[in-house]
Amino acid sequence: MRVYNSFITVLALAFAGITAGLAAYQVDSLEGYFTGYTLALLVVTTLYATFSPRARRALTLVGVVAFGGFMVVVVLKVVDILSGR
Amino acid sequence: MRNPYQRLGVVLVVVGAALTPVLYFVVGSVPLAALALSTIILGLVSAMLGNARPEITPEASQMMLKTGMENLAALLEELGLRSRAVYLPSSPGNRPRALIPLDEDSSTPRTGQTPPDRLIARYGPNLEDMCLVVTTPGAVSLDSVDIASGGGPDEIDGALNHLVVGIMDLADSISVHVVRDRVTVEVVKPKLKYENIWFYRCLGSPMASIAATVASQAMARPVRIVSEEETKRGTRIEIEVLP
Repeated sequence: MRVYNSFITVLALAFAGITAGLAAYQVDSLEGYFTGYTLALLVVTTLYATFSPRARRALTLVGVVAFGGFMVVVVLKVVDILSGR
Repeated sequence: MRNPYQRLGVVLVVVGAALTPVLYFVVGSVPLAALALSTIILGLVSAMLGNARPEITPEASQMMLKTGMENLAALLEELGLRSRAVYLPSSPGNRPRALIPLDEDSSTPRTGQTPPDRLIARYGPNLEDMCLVVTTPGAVSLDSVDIASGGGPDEIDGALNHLVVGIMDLADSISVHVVRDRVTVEVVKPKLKYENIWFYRCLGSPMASIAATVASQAMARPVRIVSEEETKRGTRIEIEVLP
């Protein structure tokens, strides 16, 4: 299962890098971090093109959930902007 | 809990879910809360990968592979076969098969020839063109991947990486080079190594068998494993594409 180990390690490193990078730029909203994690998840999943169809389906499900969260963040921001807050 | 990925997933999700509100509301640190949030995502990924693991354990698969290989090896040794197997592409309704000529000096099977559906069969016009027809590990492995017959070198590279690296996790990566009638397959960090035993000398190692079957299927021509050698990075398999 080396390919699974490598996928989880790469994802963990990407998340740590995003956290360190955004913290260095003093980003102070949880939504910003979440958006970065979602993008990293989608990109790393796409790069691991050799996964079995079963693993790919499972990861797609996680990606859809994360993307759903990202869309909620976007909708809340749009509502904030339209209501003038 | 069935496997370590699911255990890791549950631990990460629970720890992340417990820490995120504490770090956000009590400690008041957004980066630390975000880090805890990322462990929830990692946990979900790990748990889902755990669900995607095959139901048959690698140990059970290895037991079945060894049983089949030892039976076939016993048959090859008993018949005293020393010829290298010729891998044929699949025909409608049949899996790809390998022919092991009973006589080393007999002719080789030609393109378009369908593998006979018997254990011992005649494959050529001459009396001595008799062979053993066997199903190889490579032939069975093609059940889990679609290969366009006659797809060419790119098809070999893509299918081998998908099969060996992605589905079976038998190596770190694979690269394929095709020069005229030679296919060179470089396998980086393979888990199955070549051994100098009768079975491997005749049919090739399981890794070479998979490579030869995929090459035969993608080129739509018979192929033969010429050599397998250890390199610094892994194994180099030379395959000859027959006319």
